[in-house]
Amino acid sequence: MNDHRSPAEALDLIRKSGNAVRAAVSDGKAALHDALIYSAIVGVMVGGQAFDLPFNVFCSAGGVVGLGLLAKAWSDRTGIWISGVSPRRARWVAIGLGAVLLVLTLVGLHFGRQQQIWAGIPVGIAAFAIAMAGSWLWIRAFLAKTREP
Amino acid sequence: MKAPVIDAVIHAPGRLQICAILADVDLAEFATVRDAIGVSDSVMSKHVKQLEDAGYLAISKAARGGRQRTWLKLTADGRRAFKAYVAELTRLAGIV
Repeated sequence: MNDHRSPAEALDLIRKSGNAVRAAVSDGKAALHDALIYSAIVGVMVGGQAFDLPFNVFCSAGGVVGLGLLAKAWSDRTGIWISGVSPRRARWVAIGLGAVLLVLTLVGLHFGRQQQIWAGIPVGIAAFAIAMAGSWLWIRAFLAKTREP
Repeated sequence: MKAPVIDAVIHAPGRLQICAILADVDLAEFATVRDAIGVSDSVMSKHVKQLEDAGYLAISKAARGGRQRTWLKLTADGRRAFKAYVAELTRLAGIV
């Protein structure tokens, strides 16, 4: 090491450099606020599939726009952009969450076809709870991986 | 014992910190990275230019909220080089 840093010191510098990113991702109140909004949008998108046309389409389209605006607001506030599919452990949490929400969406659609519109509410609440848990797990996975040099 | 193979472009503390931040994200704004590592605009620009010249970093500009924002991203080569650098440091730390 030609600048008098030991390898251990350089590794420590790398670890500390990630603090700004980790602080942005795990910023207590703001992270909870974002997770609540994200989960509420997901709950409406998933639960809304039990509704008749065109309301189920409105729920999907409105949800996509809402998620886009939420991501943009987060990126504007923190100055970083994270797609959610890296690092690897966080990617598996994102894929798992997406798979569970997809199954719930199909459940919502199934109830919609049976004209059981009321089922949209418990399905939406379940999607909200799963999205909250998924957000928490994703943050834990992201922080755990990025703490390693 | 294998001789140390240290990437001189990444090795400077400022550039090492930039790479470490960008390795954790897809994109980061110039100002966010500059503030995180605590350097001036000109020093940051110099580091960014060196990383860009090495093919390790890509720059994109986007206008948002009436102002121009500069976004930085590690290229695939940059990610590979940083990963190799960290692996080498880890190996050396194990020897010392």
